[in-house]
Amino acid sequence: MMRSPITRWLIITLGLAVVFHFGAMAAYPHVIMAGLNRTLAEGTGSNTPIVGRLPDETSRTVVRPSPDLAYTICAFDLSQGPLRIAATLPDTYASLSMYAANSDVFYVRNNQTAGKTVSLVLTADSHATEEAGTVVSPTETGIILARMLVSARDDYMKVLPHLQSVTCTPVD
Amino acid sequence: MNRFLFNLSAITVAVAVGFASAWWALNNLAYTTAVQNGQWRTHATAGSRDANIYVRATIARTGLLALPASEAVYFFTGIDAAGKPLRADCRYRLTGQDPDALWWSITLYGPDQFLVSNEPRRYSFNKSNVLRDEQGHFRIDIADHGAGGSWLPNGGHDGFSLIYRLYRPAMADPAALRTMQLPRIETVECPA
Repeated sequence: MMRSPITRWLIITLGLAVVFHFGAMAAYPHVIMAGLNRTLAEGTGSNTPIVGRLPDETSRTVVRPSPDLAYTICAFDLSQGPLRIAATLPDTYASLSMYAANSDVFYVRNNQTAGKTVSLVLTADSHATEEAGTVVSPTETGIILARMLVSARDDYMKVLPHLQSVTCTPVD
Repeated sequence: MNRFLFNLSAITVAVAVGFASAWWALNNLAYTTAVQNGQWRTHATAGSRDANIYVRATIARTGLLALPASEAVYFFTGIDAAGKPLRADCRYRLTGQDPDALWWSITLYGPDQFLVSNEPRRYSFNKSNVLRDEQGHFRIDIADHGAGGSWLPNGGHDGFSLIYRLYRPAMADPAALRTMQLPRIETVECPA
């Protein structure tokens, strides 16, 4: 069946518009996460934990920070090999979560499910067995975030040693 | 129309329509899949692999690094009980009672989605520091100016919003999120 040039133009244009629409939506989280990774890595490099102060109005790295939680954040890059992740969690609410390059959470434990300490190996090797102590990341880059409750701002110093206990260093 | 102009015009229009519709969807479409509970709404799949591309993109823009619902639920609102947008020159009263969760907080954000500057450096109330009455109900007064232990400053910004965070909620399935009792924000005083 022969179509007029205008009809062909409309079909091609609409088809491409759908592709661009879904492409843009799917790419958006990757772009935001890549920007965060870049911002964090600019200061300290990848695979280095950054201990944050308690968020206030000057905290502008991540939208909607919780002012009742103190954070340690690590931009990870597994292209050179696996990382050893460790943390000592306080008695108050705390969690350790890992985010893939598309912003999905692929690992989360809190002080009730993990106990007082977390110690594991993070790898991007899809052939690695996901056994106790090994977590396979779906992407080579991403974010590790430790959240620790500071219910009164004066309590930050009590939580600080736990924030400083977070490591994300290459496995020897 | 020669082939070059045919292709160029199709690609140009497709890029414009594709990106414009994506931007519109980013601002509007995710809300159609949100769980609504009175003034509040939340995304039951935030942070999880079950999130569709619209929810994932919306969370990346407005709540990056959110936890999945089994760990934390984030209820959002920018309106009062009558459905009107929150204003800097109005006084609001938020009332509620403790949810069935390990811990909770209510935080105020400016229209840019960051914490607002204010003299007492108070950005939120939580399970530990909120004031309660004899029945255990809590009350928070939201206004630009105020005093006392239940005042949450709005920073003088129209279009501010609140996030009610529940950590380790007892239930986090969409049906529970839709029906659980949430705080209510009522307008106390508002200039015409």
